[in-house]
Amino acid sequence: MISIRGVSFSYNGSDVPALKNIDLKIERGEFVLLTGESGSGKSSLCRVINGLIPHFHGGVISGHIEVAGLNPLQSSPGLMANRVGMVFQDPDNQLVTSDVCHEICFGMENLAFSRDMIAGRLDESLEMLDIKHLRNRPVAQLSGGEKQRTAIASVLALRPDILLLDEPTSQLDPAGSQRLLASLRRLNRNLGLTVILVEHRLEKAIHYADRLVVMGKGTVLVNQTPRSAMKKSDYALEECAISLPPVVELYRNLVARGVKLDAVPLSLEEGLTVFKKILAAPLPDPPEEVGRNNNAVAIEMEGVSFCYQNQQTILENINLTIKQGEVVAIMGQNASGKTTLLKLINGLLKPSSGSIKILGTDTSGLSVAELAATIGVVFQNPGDHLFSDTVEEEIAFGLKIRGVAPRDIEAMVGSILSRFNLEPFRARSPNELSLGEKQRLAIASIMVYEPPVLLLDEPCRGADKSTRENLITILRDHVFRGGTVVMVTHDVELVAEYSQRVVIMDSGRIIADGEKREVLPSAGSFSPQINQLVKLSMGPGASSRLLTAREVAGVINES
Amino acid sequence: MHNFRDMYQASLSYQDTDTPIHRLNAVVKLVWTGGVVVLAMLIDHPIILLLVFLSTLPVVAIGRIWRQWLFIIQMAIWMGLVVVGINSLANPGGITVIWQSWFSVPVLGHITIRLEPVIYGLFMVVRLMAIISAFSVLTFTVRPDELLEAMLEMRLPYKTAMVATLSTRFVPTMLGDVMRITDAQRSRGLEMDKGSVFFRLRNRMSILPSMLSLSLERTIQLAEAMEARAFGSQNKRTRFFKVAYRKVDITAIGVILAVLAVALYLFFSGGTAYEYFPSLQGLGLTIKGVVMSVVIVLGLPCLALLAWLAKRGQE
Repeated sequence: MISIRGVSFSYNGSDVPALKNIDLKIERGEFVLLTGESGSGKSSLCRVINGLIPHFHGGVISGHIEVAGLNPLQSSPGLMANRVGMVFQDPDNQLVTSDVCHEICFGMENLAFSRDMIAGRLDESLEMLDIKHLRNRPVAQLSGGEKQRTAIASVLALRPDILLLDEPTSQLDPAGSQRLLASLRRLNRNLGLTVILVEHRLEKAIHYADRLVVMGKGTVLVNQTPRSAMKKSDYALEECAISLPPVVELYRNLVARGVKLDAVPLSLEEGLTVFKKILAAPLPDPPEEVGRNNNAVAIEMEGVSFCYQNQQTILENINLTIKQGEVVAIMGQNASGKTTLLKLINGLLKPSSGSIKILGTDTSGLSVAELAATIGVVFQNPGDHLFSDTVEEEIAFGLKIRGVAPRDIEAMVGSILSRFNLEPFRARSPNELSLGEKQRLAIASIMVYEPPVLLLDEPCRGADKSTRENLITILRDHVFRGGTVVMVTHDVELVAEYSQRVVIMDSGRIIADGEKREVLPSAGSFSPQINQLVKLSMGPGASSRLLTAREVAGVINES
Repeated sequence: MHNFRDMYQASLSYQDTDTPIHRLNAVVKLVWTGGVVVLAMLIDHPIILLLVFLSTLPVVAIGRIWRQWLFIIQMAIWMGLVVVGINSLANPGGITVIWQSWFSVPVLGHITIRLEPVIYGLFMVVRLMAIISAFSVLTFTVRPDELLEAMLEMRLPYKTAMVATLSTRFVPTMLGDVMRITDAQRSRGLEMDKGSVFFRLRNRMSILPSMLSLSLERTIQLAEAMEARAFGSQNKRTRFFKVAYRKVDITAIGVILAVLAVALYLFFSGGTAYEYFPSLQGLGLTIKGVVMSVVIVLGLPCLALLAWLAKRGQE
């Protein structure tokens, strides 16, 4: 179906090739999971397959490509649209029209299909993606998951042989992405559609895939079945900077300790079979961590409610006390009020009723800028925070407005630059940085004046392994210096590994709040894969405080 | 620099409600808006101009878009006051001096404010308000997709029509961006709530670089997505969605065209003109002027009346 031989590609004005001598063959009906760190060439490869490279992006390309009988180098993307459908990361930037049925017809109209054919395919596409009920719904009213389904339906209406998806789940909550990936699997199996899915989080999709392709620095590093790729512990998978699914981590951990296991499990279900014997006996709890936190209160919310003018209530009667030195994760489905909660804490929104105190001071009379001295916030899109001409000025801003002497500024900026690995970018424009680098810069520009409380909104969205690990190091360091961290996230594994306390929100209320080992095991789609594995292995009604592969391997080793 | 949050809450894009005006087809509203714009541009007479503006109000009312309308009319008035100010200072026409400065300003000399340019400026604002009022009906009661269909129905070139509708489709997204970036930068300590107006305004400008790069990114991604769905790949494209005409739509188009025809005939046959310079002409209307006023006052709001009757007929 797809045959790529010796393909190299460089964007105009770039000395570093985005793709280097790629060889890849994909058969009809395969489900390919494509992964690799940011900037490894995944997106470029997708764009080569559907002809956007070089027809849209320009650049220099060499090598031989054949896709569904066509040569994308010679066929325009318009012609390729019949063979290759592409779904992009940001749902808002790919929906062209303003309601679902217009969106689905857009491509068919462009290709001048007959009206009867369009009518028929419109119904079929709606059915395939289970969105018949959305037919006349305005795009603006759809959830992220519904938007992505609409985007998929609109490319499937052209009946492509191949469906390319560039990180389609990065903006969805766990339940939404699970539903989306399950529909992809169904389309792949029932229609024989060839699917190429770009995804950072392997555990979401690896059990659906026939093949795993890992890219790094513009080359293909791994190209084999997921099972053999996951099994080979000698393989350079560690060097590929991708995070493995928790069940695979556990498998590798145990194998490394000499435990004999049949096959490497790829999903929770397979894990239940593979680890049956080992997990049959109840496991002890993990060792208790540091004792009670007796620090002073950092954030205190009392009876806080919030609604926009005369509109429905978004937050209702929130009571939340967070102490200094705590790491708190706030979780919940999309639109459950998490981000609103953050905005209330840093003063962007004022509560309709109730009070908020930060380090003992009531915030009602303070402006957002004044509160910024004690509360640093990094929102989902780190680029939003940046406004200076150079990286250096960006960091110096927080010091300048606080009247720090120029001599001190230079020294402080210098030390922050090296602490955050931003030294090489010192004189560059923030706009030129990658997403991970922008995030580091956004945090660095706050940390330079050391606000005691740090709030983060979805810090790991679309982040690869090294960006995640880097972030965790930065946050650990902040807490070590006595700081407090509150983060809103969907990333269950990040929470399991790093936070201490979890707050779960639903429809504007707090429905669970406590130590992570108390809350996560009973949190439904927010409980970590390993915890579900241990609980299910022990039988119905069992509970466990184990959350990560490392913890399970640790307690097994002891017993 | 009005508050973007207000703008966002008034949500300056299509209002998804079900009113008689919403139910009219998009071609009707496009023709009606076009008619109002033509009349507002041609007519000089203050009374008739005012009537054109007032005649759009029943449609706004029945379409239940007061909140949005009020917001943009407010902005138009602010903009208009600037126009009046500049016009009063810079327009050399007119003979009735209402104020003269006792001091001399470099370049300009003694500033003289004359009545005629002020009145002329004021009625320019009325003209502007009539046009904006008509466009608000188009923006807030017609779905962008339907607008596109209507433009194609009227044989406008596809790519031009597409660009026009895409820009309306992205207004809410861009306003959302502005709010998000403003929030992010305030959170970093950029003061936008306290201090002098100038200081706050300068700080607010800091969102521009982010906004620019973000919009550019959005544009490129959107173009990619359109290209990947064969946009512009064929010379002829299918129009799957056709504009549906009910009796009321056809009647409405007929009435608007008739009003336009009568008004244009009266205008070009002379007798309805008005002179602001050198001194204001009397406000009295000729017979032709009276007929024109009556036709406009009865004709333009008929959109609201017809839509309302059609809805009653259905119930």
